[in-house]
Amino acid sequence: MSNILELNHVSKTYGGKKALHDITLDIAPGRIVGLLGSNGSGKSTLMKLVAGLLHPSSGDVRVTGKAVGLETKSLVSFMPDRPLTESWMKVRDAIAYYRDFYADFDQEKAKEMLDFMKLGEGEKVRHLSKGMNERLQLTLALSRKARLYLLDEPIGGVDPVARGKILDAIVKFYDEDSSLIISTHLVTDIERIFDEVIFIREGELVMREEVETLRLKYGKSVDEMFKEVYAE
Amino acid sequence: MMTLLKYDFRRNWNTLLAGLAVLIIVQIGLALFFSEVTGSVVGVIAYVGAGVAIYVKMIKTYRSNIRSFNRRLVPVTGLSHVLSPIIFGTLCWLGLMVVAAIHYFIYSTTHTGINFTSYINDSGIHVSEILNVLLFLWWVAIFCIIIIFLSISIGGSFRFKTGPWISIVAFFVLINVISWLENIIFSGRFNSNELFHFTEESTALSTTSNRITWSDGTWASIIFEIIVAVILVGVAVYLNNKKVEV
Amino acid sequence: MSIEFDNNLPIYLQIMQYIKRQIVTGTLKAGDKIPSVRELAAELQINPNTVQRTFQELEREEVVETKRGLGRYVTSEESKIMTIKKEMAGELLERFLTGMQELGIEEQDIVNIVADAVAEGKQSSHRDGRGGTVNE
Repeated sequence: MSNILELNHVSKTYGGKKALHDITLDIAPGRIVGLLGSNGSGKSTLMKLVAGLLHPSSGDVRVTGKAVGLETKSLVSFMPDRPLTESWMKVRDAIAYYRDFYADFDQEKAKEMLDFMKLGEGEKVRHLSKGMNERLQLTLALSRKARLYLLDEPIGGVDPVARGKILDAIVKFYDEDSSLIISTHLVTDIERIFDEVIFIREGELVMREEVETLRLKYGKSVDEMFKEVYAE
Repeated sequence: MMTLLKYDFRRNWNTLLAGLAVLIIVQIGLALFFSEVTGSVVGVIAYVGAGVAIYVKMIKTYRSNIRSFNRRLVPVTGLSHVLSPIIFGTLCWLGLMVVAAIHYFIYSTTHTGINFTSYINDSGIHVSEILNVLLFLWWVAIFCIIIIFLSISIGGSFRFKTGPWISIVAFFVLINVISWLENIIFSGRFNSNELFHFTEESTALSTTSNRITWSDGTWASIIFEIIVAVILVGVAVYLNNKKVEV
Repeated sequence: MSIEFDNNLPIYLQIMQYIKRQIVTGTLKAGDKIPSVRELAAELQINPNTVQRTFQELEREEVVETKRGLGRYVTSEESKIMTIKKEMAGELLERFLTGMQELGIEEQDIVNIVADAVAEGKQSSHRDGRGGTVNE
């Protein structure tokens, strides 16, 4: 099967500053990939480019071979670092929104996940705590049968219990035909669900490796590798 | 796009209901506490005010839609994002007209002293002309809003704080260029100041209006505007898809 | 059920050890069905591909066998299980001996120390484990 994601010499400049520099990578189906980097390294920018919220200054981004655009929006499920719900919504409205706009939305899965995450349908979105909100955003993103899931810091700023639930959900809903890219800087908790990790520093792709190879060959955990790569 | 429209309504539902409630209360208040003439004039102004509020809402909706993540991630065409606020506004205006019509109906059945219909008939304005005028007003408003939308999109293509200023500049540039073009091609019809004249005399209202005489010039003018509108929408869609960023 | 994983060592190896231990201690008996890739991945909160790799290795070592259409099962050959037990004991032993030698303890002394420890271990409570110094 062809690659789910291809980036070809992608660069992105914001007003003089190079957020991403000449990134080339591809991701096969059925992979859970960690996108690692310190804050401001370009992880979010990369995800937004793939999701179609930003446009590359140069280079080419393709999802299942198609250029990023209207079609790929149906293939990519993005969970950004800010809520995708509007303040007037209740939980069930958020679900309805997704169901109405995305043909691949799985209502059953969503209900299952809501129960799993202990979210009530009638709750007002703006009354949810940060942790509950993260759970909701994750539910929305994972209830779609997308080809590529992009999760931007899904466990940052969330209590350990919620974190566990979120990791659980990610593993449970894994599918061999699709891939997940998870960006995070909290590596220890999550590194055992990654197939491979990509390190981005100051907009450049610094390293890309299968996680078990890191452990086998270098005897290092991803967390340790991270510290080495980003040492100041 | 229907789904976008549905959510535009859902998001603004509370504001719409609140606005309606305020309007009704104001109208009742006017009817009860003010003289008939003042009351009517202010009442009409209240309706116009509501219409303007809807107009502003359309603009705000467009602006936030092209900036919010959840709207931009959704797989709908760029065209839908431009059309949805327009249709939203138009439907709200229709709703407003229904309210006004009901109000008028109640008014004329309770005020047998003043008989608007014969009054209007006497001054020689027919219902179809009122409709023409309304349609014309609607078109002017929509045309204007398309220019505003495009200005917003142009501003949105620039990342910095200068964004909003660029929008304002773009707006004035566009408006002037377009009316200049129209004035050159057709002789000066697009002059929104001369649409309506209200004159109030001490005991009665009389209106004179620039009648929409459907001459060839008028048709051509409208077709020109339609073409321009289509181009502007196309550019706005292009910008939204390719250039505007959050 | 969640294992403490050491992120510095390949996870699939750690799971293999875990499963082997379950077999050797009888928690998983000969011929028992093993959870599917998905189930295990969800339980342990690890990447399904890692679990897949674990199972492949276990199959290669003939610790586990796949029955078409039915799933994966622990080998039904008792002799194989004995072999695993011996291997695991051997690894433990090697580490123990290396550790003791690093401490500078002579061979004969090692034997005596072990004999004493085993005798003591029988008397004290089992809750403290096997009395070994190796932690896994």
